[in-house]
Amino acid sequence: MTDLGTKLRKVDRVIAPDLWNDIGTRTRNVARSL
Amino acid sequence: VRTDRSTRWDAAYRAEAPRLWRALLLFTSGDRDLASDATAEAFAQGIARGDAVRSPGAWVWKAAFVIARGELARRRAPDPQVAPTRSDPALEDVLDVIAALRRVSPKQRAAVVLHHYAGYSVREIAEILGTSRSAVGVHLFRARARLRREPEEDDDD
Repeated sequence: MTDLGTKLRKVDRVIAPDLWNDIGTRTRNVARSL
Repeated sequence: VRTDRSTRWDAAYRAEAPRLWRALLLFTSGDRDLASDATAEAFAQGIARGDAVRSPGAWVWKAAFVIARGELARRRAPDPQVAPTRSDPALEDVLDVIAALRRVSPKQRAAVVLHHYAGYSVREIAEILGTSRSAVGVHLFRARARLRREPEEDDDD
């Protein structure tokens, strides 16, 4: 299953997380509201 | 002035969010929106609990997978949102493995992603998924067996 892990970890190189800033903003807004 | 709480959660966010998001993308068969929602919701819920959460990093993985599993269970079919173009061999490999993972059950898929992508041990996966170590072992064994078979061999299963 090494091949499976190798293929899965290629996601790190080819797909950037979506809505990165949005998630960060949302998280910080929740933190500020507490 | 930043509070200890926000500093702690900011650190957890920077350390865990990108890898968690990608693990959720693989688990949800390429559903970017669900990966984003589950990541954000897990962090929001964790921050709301504040100091009651001892280990934010571990906590968000568990919460995010609970959220994503619940949402997947409500859906009839996955909603892949990974780019359809296959110009990059590495992207092609990722799309192939996402397609292959759709052939196994959600529990098996979660175990495979947490172990083979995120690098968690069987004990850690049991904690994240809220199950036993033996159950995780069975999920991994069955998933690997199924993934080794060709898709057309799945009809009898």
